[in-house]
Amino acid sequence: MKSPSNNNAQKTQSELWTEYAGLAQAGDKTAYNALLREIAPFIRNYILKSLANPDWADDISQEVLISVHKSLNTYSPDRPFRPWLMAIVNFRRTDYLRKHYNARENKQTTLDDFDFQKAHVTNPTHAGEYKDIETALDTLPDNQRKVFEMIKIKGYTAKEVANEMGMSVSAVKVSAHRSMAKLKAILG
Amino acid sequence: MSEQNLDKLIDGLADDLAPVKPLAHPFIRILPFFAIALLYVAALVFFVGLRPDIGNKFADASWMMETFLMGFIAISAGIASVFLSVPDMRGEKWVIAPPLTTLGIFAVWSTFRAMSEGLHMPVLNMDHCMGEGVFMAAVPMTMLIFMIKSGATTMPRLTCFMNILAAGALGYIGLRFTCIMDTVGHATVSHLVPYVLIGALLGIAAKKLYKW
Repeated sequence: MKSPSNNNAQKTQSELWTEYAGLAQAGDKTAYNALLREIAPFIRNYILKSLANPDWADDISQEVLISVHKSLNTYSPDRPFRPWLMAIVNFRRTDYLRKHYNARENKQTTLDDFDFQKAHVTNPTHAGEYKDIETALDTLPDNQRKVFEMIKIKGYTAKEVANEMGMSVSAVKVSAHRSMAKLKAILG
Repeated sequence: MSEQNLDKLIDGLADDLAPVKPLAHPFIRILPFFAIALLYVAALVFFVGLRPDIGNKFADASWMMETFLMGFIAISAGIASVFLSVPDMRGEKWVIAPPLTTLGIFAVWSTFRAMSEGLHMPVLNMDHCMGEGVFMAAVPMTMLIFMIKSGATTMPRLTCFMNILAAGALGYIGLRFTCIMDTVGHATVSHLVPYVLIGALLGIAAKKLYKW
């Protein structure tokens, strides 16, 4: 297996990524690891400028890295890597923001509605707490929330969730861990 | 995301890496589609039966123009579809212009035809052309969906539109070889409307259909 060449200092960032991506397609884990470590801060800094909440940049960066992993076969080694990456970044950012704003609309029509509370909340005096939890869960991206609910609420194993969601086991564990940390931070 | 979690994610992804074969060039990927789709439509045309005046139609400039425009739409939309199946479209964003331009020419040309020949709008009811048209486009559409799903589109709705344009144009050409009615009204209602309806439904479901 070919490894990244040693004259990296003479190469531009774009050339380096293109080389790493080609090697990653051939199965070079070292080059792939280096590529992901190079692009992660780049993605975060790029999207940060266009987001109202800096926390979202972390979620979107994570989704982009997973998307790069899933679609590595669609990258053409005879083309520069950066335009391919940027297409994914813009796609995931738009997707994330659309989901986020849609979810916010849902939040406004659930526990604020007294008829809904009467029909669905068994102990209305605790409605505020339920609402806090629901609000905190709603801050998670859809996929992350689904992973969290499957592992922490429904009791599936990480492997089962990974199979269901088409993710790696490690990505599932990281996602669940991150969700828990985020919920703790929100709920105190 | 903390540094530690990001490290874990990257390490996890790198550990999961398996060698992948890059998708072939879109022009190569689209060839089997055209070969199979054309054979399928041709087989259905012969199964349904060629229109009795087909010999004269090759001398009919209007029929030839209609068929040529639809043929060009089918080819260019098919090519655009497969370029759209990769995130950066391999830098060839212009490929969506030819099918859209030709569709515009077809619409203008049909409008002029309707003005000069009359629309001859049929009564709106289900006729055999609708069912046959859907059958003719079904297999090409299914093939395109599978082809797109083997990639990763970042424009699901536009991709879906190009898919239905390519499959619908192939079905439309098939119908021009079987249906004896040449009026703009019949072509619009019985040949085009089913594709518009299917396209609208698929457009709504496009994001789920091409989720990755």
